[in-house]
Amino acid sequence: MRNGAAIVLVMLGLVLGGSSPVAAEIEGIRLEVDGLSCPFCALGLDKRLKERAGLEQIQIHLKQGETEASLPTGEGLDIGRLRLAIQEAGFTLRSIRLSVTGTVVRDGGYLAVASRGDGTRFLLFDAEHQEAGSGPVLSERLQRQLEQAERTAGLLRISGTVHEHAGLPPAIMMEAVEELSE
Amino acid sequence: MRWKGSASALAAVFMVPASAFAMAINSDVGLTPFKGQWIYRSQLRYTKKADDPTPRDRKLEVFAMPQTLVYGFTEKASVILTIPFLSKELDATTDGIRASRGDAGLGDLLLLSKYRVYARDYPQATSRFSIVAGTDLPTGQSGDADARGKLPRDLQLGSGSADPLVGSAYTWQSLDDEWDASLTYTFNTTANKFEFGDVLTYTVAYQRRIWPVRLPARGLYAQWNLVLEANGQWEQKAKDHARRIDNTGGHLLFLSPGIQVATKHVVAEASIQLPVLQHLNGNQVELDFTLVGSIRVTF
Repeated sequence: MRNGAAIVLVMLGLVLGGSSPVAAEIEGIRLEVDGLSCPFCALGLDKRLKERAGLEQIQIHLKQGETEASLPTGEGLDIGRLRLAIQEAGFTLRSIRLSVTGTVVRDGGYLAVASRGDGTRFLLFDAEHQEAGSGPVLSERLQRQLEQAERTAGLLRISGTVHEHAGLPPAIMMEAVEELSE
Repeated sequence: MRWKGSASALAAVFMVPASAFAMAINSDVGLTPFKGQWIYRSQLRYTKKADDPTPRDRKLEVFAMPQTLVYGFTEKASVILTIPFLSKELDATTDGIRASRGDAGLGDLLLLSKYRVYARDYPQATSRFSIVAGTDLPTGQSGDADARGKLPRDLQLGSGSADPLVGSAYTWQSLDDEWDASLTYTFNTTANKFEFGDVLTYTVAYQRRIWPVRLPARGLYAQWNLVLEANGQWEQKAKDHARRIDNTGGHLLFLSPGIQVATKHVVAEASIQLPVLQHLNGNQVELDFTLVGSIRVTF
């Protein structure tokens, strides 16, 4: 009887403790911040990104003017708060690069990725077609790939630079698309 | 930097609005702390004046310890409170007798507000312009006496008056170097029928990173800078009972080399101010030098 209980406990431990952690839905956040020009200035950026934008594991690289950070698993990224955090630190946000893991959905007729965690949506642009029109534009190949992913609700990891357009959700100018197995 | 008192130029208030940025050592700058940021700055300044053209052979020493606290209300607006602790000692010959007199304690508080009116950020560089306004408050004793009677104005710890100040500051900063320029004007007012002359200060400062020679590809680092500043001060003659005092006021210009190390949380710096121009009115003791050590901590 005692042995049986021990086995149950061990198995329960394997199920709970041995499960692999869920990967972050928005990860690899890289911010290009203008105006960052001395080590003593960096503390403000670090603090505001943590307190205002909810980022963690912040690493500031002065030489590149770049900041790497991550979001807690399941947390969404609020671009407005991120921009405000950097402004309150006394700097200017130039660009955001990140990777989103999620599924392809339609948003206002545009293809978008909805992050697996909180469903944050990013419209999808194709970097090679960015100047072809005013709205989100995709090459035929990417359009087909994304529509296929939309139909199958397949999981993708999309990496690129975040853009904002008035009246629209934030968009990603895609640099890499990776199909993930569930 | 600000000197209060004409002949003395030693009741040095040395109110330097600290900044979040690695500013020059003896100058105001146009950069402000981030929203919610506190900066504490502690300075130690030693000034020696010994070149007296009169038979009194006056020798003055001043230790000043301005303690400055800065808070950023927004990324543009900040307040700066400076509490100076002063110790002054004057050796002089009077009627053939050499004697020493002095005083020590709290000087006049300085309360400043600072507003960044212009900022332009570039990759790894920034350019900013701020305006400053405030006043000092007569918290230092202005009527102290010793066994020989009331101390002379130069040895008093405070002016006895509240004196408004306005100014501006500009900064250009990159990872390699930094330029700062600032200008302040203090409207000294009357207390006990005595009025120190108005004071105009100006500073141009340049600093250059000397270490690391090549920046690390990633992360933050401790940065060493060489600093060279020109700190000037022009002061009107003081007035006693509305009459101008001849041996007061003038124009001083210092060249101030220094060194600074800046990390993410701390800036430590040292400088020596050497007078290169002393056009002092009348017979005043000329300044030999000022040594400056300072540490800034942000949290």
